[in-house]
Amino acid sequence: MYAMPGLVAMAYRLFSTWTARPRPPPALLPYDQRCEQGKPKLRRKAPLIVALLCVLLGVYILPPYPWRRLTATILYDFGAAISSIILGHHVKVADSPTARLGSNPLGNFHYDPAEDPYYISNLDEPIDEFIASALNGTHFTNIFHIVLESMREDSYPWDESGLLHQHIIKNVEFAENGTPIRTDTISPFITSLAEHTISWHTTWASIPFTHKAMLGRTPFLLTH
Amino acid sequence: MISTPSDGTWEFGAPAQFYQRCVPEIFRLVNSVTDISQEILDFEYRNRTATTDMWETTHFQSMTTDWEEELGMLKAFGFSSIFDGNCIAKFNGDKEFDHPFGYFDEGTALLFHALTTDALPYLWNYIDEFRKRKPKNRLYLSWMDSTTHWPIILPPQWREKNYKQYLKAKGDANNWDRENISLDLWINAVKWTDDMVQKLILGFRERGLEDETLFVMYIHLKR
Repeated sequence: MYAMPGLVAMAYRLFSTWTARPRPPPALLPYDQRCEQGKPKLRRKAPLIVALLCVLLGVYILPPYPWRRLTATILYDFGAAISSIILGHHVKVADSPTARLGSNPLGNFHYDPAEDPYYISNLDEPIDEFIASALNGTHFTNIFHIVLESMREDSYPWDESGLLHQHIIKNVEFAENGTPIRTDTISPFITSLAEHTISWHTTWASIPFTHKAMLGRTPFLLTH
Repeated sequence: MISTPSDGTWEFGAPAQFYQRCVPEIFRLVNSVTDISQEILDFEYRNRTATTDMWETTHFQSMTTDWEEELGMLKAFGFSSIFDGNCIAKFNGDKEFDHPFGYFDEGTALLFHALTTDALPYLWNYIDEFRKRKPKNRLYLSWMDSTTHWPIILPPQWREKNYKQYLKAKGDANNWDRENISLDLWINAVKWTDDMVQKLILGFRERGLEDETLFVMYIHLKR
């Protein structure tokens, strides 16, 4: 009786997982492959199963009193733990741990903007004219996102009217026979692409003093 | 655009999620969703070729992701694969980093850094493997360059050939004003970054991917 609801939930989630992956997942990447090499197959596929088997066997060599009474629920505990591992493994293969929307009790409680009455969407608005004109006629299949950590907006490409350049001119002496600080001496390549580069200077992010404004805590209950 | 937490990224140590979906996660959803609306299908068909199939979302950086739960944050962004300094250490057979930027040598009390260029061979290896995949996938690739972040370590070979002095040293030549040294070094790091961006874009050009790739650069600081 204990196990029946769990078995039903497990069957439902296996079914929904199967139907949610009509296409095979992408080929494994070098990191996945190499970091997983060298482990025995069982440990590689389901590392906790080995530990669970050890615990299961260990229960039967416990002293009779008071620990042996734990064996009354051992089958239920074992079944629940194994099914969690199997489900978690399959769901993670199907997609990312957070890539499933919804608050379905049999699925997960992840935040779903579609169910948030305070969520403000812009999907009903036309695409921003500037972006639409900039991308008009372009065709791309890949996106390469380059993050320049600790780089200043007025330094790349080097902006001779920018604050840093003005600060240097006013407050810092140039080296004798040194290289002049100019756009073409510091950032010649990106400057050469200027005619084909679109630059946004106002992509601000709101930075709250509490993470709670932007992050949701994922509950453990019935989640994978 | 969404923010990342202001006080580091510590909260990602616990299971946390963004209230907004991030681009890598949206692409992965597109991979797995079966009942795509007609609008999304129209958008997809406009932007895909006959041989293009699924999105691969991958992040590369030569720093570790151990600091302030950065790995958790990158996972929350939705990347399917993350390649960081720990992977470089593992593949090179080195010991794991004990600092986000590299190794601390107890004998010399010096910190040896993984250079941004250290991840480059792996990036090209990954892209070459990506090009061989059939059916062809689509790529959302992220690359983080941390060279302009203090302590600003420039590759020795580049430094020998390309380091230039822009600013005058104050006082004794052996005892420069710290601010000038830092600024001079940082300007050189900007020049190095320009060379690096050139390498990346030309690498895509050599592989015939430039014309089918949208390059987006994100700069960390407003001023």
